[in-house]
Amino acid sequence: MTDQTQMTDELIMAYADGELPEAEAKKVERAAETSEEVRDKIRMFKQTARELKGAAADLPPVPDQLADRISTLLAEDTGARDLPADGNVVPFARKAVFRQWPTALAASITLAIGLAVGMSAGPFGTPDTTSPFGIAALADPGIDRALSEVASGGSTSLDSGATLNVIASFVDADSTLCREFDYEAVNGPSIVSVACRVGQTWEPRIAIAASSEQSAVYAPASSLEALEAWLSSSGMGSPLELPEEKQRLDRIGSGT
Amino acid sequence: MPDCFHIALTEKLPNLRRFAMSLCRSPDLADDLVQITVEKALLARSSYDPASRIEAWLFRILKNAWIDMTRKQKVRGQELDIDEKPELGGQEHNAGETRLMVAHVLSAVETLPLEQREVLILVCFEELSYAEAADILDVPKGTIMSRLSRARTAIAAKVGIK
Repeated sequence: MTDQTQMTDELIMAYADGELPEAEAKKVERAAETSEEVRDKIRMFKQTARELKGAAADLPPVPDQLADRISTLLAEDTGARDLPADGNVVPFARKAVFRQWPTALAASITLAIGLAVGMSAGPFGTPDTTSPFGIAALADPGIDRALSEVASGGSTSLDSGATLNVIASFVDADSTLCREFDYEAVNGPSIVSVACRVGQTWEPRIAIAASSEQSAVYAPASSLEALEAWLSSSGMGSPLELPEEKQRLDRIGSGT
Repeated sequence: MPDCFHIALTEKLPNLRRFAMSLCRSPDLADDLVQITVEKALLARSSYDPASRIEAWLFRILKNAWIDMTRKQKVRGQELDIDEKPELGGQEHNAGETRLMVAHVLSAVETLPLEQREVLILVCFEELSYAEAADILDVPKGTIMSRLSRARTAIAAKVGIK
């Protein structure tokens, strides 16, 4: 005779769900032959599975805003993955492949400034970067930390309320880690900049200031080409792959 | 050229969001959680075994991201409310368009404790195996079975399945 006391709910449910190996399934079937309670439970578990499956078909769509956020991520990922791994490839070929410039930004660039090394541009957050070229935005002390932490393609909100989007990482001819990012202040211009890790800080090397969105100025794509030219002339051919970037950032994080 | 991995990710977004909603019950948090999951999945792409189902892999990432998120919230002293709050649960479902039984079932699911609800979603909604659910939730298969059978028994009682 079948030992009905072993017919736990779990076992009966697993039978109803087709999760039991054949030998055990046979035991449940034998128990069901003699026990109405076991039969009822099999029926109950099968029916809950059916009803739940029916309810699951009512899958709410993803909200548009989330769908947009995800497609941006995927587009950035596509860009990053399509890049040639070989740094000798003509740098211009990658133009616009990996960059996800906000349209309004790309269309409204008004000014490009190179910050020569040794000029008064000090590390982020130090007073001497605040005004010489009118790019006070780069004095935001939050930039330094964000550049050490945020992966390319990622964004972060700084304490100042500004948003920093990291576009890509490069290694220059001297193997210095450099990062291209755009900085959107709450009020004022957006800045696209490249900063390089020197000692314990990030030093801005080039900045392109873009006017705010309502600007009527139409910027030719050549403004971005200027940045491309600057990157390639600095030995920064193609961006680092994300795993390599992560290794480099981890080293900064651990202070080594 | 279309990226199969991206396509698979995109196809699973509604499922990821539903699972996220069942965990955190806040649309904003659920959106963040899905975004974090996608970011992590893209970074960890090379660790995905194409022989396994991508949703199982994604749900595991999402669940771990949720654990991280609740841990951080606790550290900041603003513990998230993951207790019973059935009135928030089914709000995204339009009762007018949903068949009565489906509405009953969904609201019954919302009244379950989190640890039963997450198993139920994975096994009965997403049709994952007990073993896959055990892997995602990092608990033994026996625990999955006991939570699931209690959840199903409770649902049956609530919606009148005998």
